[in-house]
Amino acid sequence: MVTSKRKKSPEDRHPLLDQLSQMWRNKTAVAGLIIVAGFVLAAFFAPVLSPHDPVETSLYDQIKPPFWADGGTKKNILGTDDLGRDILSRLIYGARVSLIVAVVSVGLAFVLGTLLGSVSGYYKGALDNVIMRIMDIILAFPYLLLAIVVVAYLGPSLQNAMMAIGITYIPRFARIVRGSVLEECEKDYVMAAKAVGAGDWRIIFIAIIPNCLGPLIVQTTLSFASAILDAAALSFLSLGAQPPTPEWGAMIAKSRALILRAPWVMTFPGIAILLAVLGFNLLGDGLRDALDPRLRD
Amino acid sequence: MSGRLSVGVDLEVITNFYILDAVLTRNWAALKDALWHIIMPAVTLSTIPMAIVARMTRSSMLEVLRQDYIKTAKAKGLSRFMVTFKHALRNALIPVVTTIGLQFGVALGGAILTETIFAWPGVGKWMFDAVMKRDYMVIQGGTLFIAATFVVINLVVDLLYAVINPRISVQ
Repeated sequence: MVTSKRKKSPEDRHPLLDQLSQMWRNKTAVAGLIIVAGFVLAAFFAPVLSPHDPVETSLYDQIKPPFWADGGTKKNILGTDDLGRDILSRLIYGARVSLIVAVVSVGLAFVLGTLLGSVSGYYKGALDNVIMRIMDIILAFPYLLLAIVVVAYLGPSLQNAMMAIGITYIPRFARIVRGSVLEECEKDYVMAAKAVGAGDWRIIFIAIIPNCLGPLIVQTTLSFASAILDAAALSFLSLGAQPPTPEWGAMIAKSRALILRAPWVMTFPGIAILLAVLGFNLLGDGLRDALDPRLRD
Repeated sequence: MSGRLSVGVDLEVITNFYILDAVLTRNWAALKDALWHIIMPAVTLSTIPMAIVARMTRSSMLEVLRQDYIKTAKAKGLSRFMVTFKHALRNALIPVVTTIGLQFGVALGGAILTETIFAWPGVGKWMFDAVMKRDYMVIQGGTLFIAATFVVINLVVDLLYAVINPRISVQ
C-alpha cells in the first residue's frame, strides 16, 4: 500500500478510492460516466425500455421515418428499417449486445494479459523474453486484420468476434502489467512478503497486482471503447453478429444501400456507437487523470 | 480498377498513380476526375489521425511552453506567433512526427473499412478479400509488405528527428 500518499482521513479508506474521488471534480469524466451509466442501464433494462420486439418484422411498417418527419408515427419513435423493425428497440437491444461483447472480450484480454504480464515481469529472464516477443508479434499485425483472420478461421459469429477482439487486446494488458510488476518488485513490501515465506503466486496476486490496479482500470475502460468500435467494425464486415441480432455495426452495414432513401436507418446506430465510445473514452481519460499521474497530459 | 476513375475517362497509365499520371500527361479532365474520386475516402481516412495528432501536439506543446527558452524568447520581445510556431512548435514536433509515422502505417494496412465502403482497391481490402478466400500467399505477402513499410517509415521518422532537431545527429 502506498501509505505515504494517503490523505489523513478518519476512516481507513483504500487509497484507490481516495484517488477515484478526485474524478468527481473532472466535468468531462462525469459526463462520460453519465453516458456509460445510461448505456449500461439501457442494456440491463432492454426488455422494459424497448417499445417493440427488436427482431419482429412488420410488412406494413417498412422504412418509416422518425416521428418528427413527414409520415412518421409515434408508434415507431425513431422509425423502422427495411423489414419494418423498430429502430429504437433495436438500438436498446444493441446496447446489450455491445456491452456483452465489450465485457467478454476485454475480460478475456484482462485475465490472460494480466496473467502473462505478471508472470513475465515477476520471473524475468528467458520466460519474460519469450512472452513479450510473442506479444510483440501480435502487436505487429494490423489489429483489425488479425481479428479478421481469427474470425475467418473460427467462422463468423458473435462469440468468435469476441474471442478475436479479446486476443488482439492481450498485449496491451500484458505490457502494462509487466511494467508495473517490474516496478513493484523492487519495493520493500515484496521483499517482506518473500521473507515471511509467501509463495510466488501469493506474492503476485495478493501483494503485487492490487498495487498495479490503477493503470489496469484505465486501460480496461479505454479498451471497452475500442472493443465496441471493433465489434461494430467486424459486424459491419458481416464477420460478427449475424442477422437478425440487433448489433449496431451490422445495422449500419445492412442499411448502407438505403442511405439516400432513408438516412435515419443508418444514422441512429452510428450515433449510438459514437455516444457509447465517447462515453467510455471520456470516462477512461478522467480515470487516467485520477489514477495514473504519470500519463497525465 | 474500380473506384479510382469514372467510366469513360481516358488516361495513359505510366506510374499507376492516377493523379501523377494525369499531371505527367497533362490530362486535366482525368486529373479532376481522379481528385474527385480520392477526396471522400481521403477525408474519411484523415479524420481519426487528425484527432490523434492534434491531441499529441497539444500535450507536447504544453510541455515545451513551460521551458525556460520560451520565457527567454518572450522576454526578447518576439511576437506571439514567432514564439509559438518557430520556437515552441519545432521543439514539440518530435513526438508528433512519431505519431504521424505510426498513423501512416495504420492507414496503409488498416483502412479495410474505408476501402470496402469506397470500393477502393487498396492493400487493406486486398488482404481482407484474401482472408475471406483463404489465399495464404496474399496474406503472407501483404503482411510482409505492411511490416516492411512500417520499418521504412520508422527509419524515415528517425531521420526526420535529425532534421527537426539538429542536436540529434545521425551517428
